[in-house]
Amino acid sequence: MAAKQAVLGLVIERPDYGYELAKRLQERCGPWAWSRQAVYKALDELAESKHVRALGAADAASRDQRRTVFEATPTGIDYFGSWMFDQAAMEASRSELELKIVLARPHELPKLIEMTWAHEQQCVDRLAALARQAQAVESGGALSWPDVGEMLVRDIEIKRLRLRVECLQEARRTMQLFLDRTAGPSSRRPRHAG
Amino acid sequence: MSATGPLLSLRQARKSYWRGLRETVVLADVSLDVHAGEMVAVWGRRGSGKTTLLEVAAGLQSPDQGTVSFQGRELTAGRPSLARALNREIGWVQRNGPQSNGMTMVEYVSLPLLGAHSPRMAQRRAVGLLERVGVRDCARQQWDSLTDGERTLVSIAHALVREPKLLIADDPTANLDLLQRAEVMSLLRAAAERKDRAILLTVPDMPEMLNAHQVGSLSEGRLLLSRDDELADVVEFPRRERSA
Repeated sequence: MAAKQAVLGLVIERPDYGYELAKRLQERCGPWAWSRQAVYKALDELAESKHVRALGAADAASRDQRRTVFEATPTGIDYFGSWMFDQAAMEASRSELELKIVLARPHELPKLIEMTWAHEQQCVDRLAALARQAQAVESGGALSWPDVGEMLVRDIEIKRLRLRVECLQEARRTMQLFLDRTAGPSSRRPRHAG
Repeated sequence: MSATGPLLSLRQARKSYWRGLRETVVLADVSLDVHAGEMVAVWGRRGSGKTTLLEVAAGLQSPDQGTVSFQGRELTAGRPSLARALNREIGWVQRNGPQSNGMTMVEYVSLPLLGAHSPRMAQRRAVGLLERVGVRDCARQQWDSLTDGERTLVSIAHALVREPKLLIADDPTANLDLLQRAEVMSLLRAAAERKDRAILLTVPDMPEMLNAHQVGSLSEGRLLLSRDDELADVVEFPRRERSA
């Protein structure tokens, strides 16, 4: 999925500055959020294709996106509508870490094992962030669709996180086992539970 | 203990078992703080050492290395005076039910109070607690007639009746359906926040962690805890969707 559709969707909801759009994207899309620069670039492209325009300015491209409020054009709204009904693409199934595991040489495995810990830590941090979000929603008032939609997406993300953590643990154990076996009995390390 | 210090604190705790010449490390260098009013949930696969972590935290097992402190005092397992103190201050949610058959749930929940209170007073408190956890209807029933969900709630009432400062629960949501899990977790969270009580529990699945103040993952003896800052909200992860 490209940043363009996400930014356009937010602009349709409410015209905003580039900086604010990047912030809203972060709040709404969490791990799918793009960097601020990517948001500005998307705004550039959207302005060029006339999907958005700067409020009160004829030529959006010449303005600084950070201080310009963008609104969606009718073309942009149509485009977003047709994207919404396009068949959603399957996500790429391999992460960079998986690619590294496939291409690693044995002496690089200890480094990759450390990398799995770092990734798992990120998963745990992400879970905590999701918990904070969930608690904020629960303590709020009546539910609206964006709230319920976010809840649903949060649930999907937790399932992904769980799978991810399990895969990282499995990868780590397997790499360690491989190292233990190929290193010979003299350098055997204590076994870990699990 | 300072007013802001953690109620429970594990510092570089290590625990391993020996099978013949082979050492199995269950906890390697685990550090953890649980504060009053806070619920900490730890997830791990079966056999990842979750129960050992809870037993070490409760003072039921001593770590091979490192320290465990409760209210600023270091715990050493096996000291009888300490065990008595722990019995009052640390509650453990046990889902085995009463030892003897024929006991009603109000009798079971009031059991921990009988030394210090009259049976009538103990039962009154037990009924109040059963009501608070939402299973007042089970008061006159026996363990065998309860559903898994009711058993869990009764077990929580049994653990809470003495008003422990720290409550420990080992997979309290195991075998429960989605709604029961949500109910148990929000009940526990309320029990932490309302009474400034610390709760340390393990969970069989991750959605339960959404109710916790702090979450952790235990594997290969290492406990990864969520870092307590807002940075995690803006962490760029995972990135692969972006390039797809």
